[in-house]
Amino acid sequence: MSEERGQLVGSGAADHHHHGEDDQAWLREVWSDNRRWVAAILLAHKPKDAELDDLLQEVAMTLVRRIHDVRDPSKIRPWLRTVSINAARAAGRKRKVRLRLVPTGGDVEQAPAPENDESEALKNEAVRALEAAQRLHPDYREPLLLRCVRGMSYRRIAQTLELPVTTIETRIARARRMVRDEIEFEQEAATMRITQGQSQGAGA
Amino acid sequence: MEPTNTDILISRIVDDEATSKDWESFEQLAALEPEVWKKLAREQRDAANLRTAVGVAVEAADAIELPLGIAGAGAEHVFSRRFSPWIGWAMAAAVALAWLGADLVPMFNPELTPTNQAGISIVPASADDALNQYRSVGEQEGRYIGEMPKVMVEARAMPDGVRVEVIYLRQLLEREVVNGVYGLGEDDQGRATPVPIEPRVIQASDPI
Repeated sequence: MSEERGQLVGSGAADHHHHGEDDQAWLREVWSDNRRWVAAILLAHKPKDAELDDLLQEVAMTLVRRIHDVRDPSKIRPWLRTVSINAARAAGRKRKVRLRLVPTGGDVEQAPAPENDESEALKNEAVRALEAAQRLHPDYREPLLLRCVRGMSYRRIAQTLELPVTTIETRIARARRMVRDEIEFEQEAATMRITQGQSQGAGA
Repeated sequence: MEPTNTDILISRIVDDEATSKDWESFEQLAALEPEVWKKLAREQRDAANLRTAVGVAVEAADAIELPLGIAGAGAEHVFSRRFSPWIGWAMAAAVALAWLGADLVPMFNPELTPTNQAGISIVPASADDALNQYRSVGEQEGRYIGEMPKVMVEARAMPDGVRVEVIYLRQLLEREVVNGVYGLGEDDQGRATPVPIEPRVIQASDPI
């Protein structure tokens, strides 16, 4: 993105999106520049079973429909964050209706039950780190996950969350320590289970 | 549990936010407590792991475009929502398949498939051949509609450090005519029991 466009999206040209022809290009620029960290916000706040893609669509829709409500361009990022958090919370409130096709004729086969081994295999180191981060309090997991998005410096995160930079770095440092503690706790618990299993096996 | 100055210092280094003064402080600290190097290495590793996991997740955003150009943007939204779960992962799957390289490309090789003299395949030579046969027969029967983009489940480096093992979900779209559609409800005693449902209330994204 050029410097001129960067200023346009980041701080200047408040009413650019009111000027007809450039509307769509400007909106695309805003979305393109912000959608990754929006995804990180959604990841930090969404319920486990909500689809990230669906929530991104919700935010994109709201951006198109409601961006004109934002008068101050410096508030676009905080506004997008609020929209994202609202979308994630709304997903948690939606009642899930699980449907099942029950054949009363024909020869529809039952789907095989998912294997536990598969889900075990999914728990690699990176997934465990993300899961541990997602269990943190939102005040900590949000800046930590945002920092994982390229281009999200402490300063930019601070602007997005409307908090001082020092608060952001303190929260990220604390979040990391809590994630590390949790991973170590899990590893110790796993080691303990294996040791117990072996001693029980030897006893039998 | 407030983070210590060492925690914050290490966090800044991990995040590429450390100034030269921070580095000086860290080196002075490390001279007294060599253990902090180990701590830094561990934090670097944790951060890299987290970046990988978050990176894969947020990549989905690149495939989400704004619903522009339609009044109210409603119709496009519905279309996008219906297929959105596939779009993000399709890109990941494409990357994963690129890693696989030529190993996955020859999906069907007629020369490898045993045939009788009339040229009719008897036993599929591979799983890919069997799948192609299924597609062919399924299309004739009207059962097989198509294949959705593959969903990458996991990718991990092989011990040789060169190749990558990719585990992905293959999803086939099929058609079936049934005599009724039922949801899962409860009977008087709270036990799960099938309940008839009007097909028109079923949304495309509902799980079966």
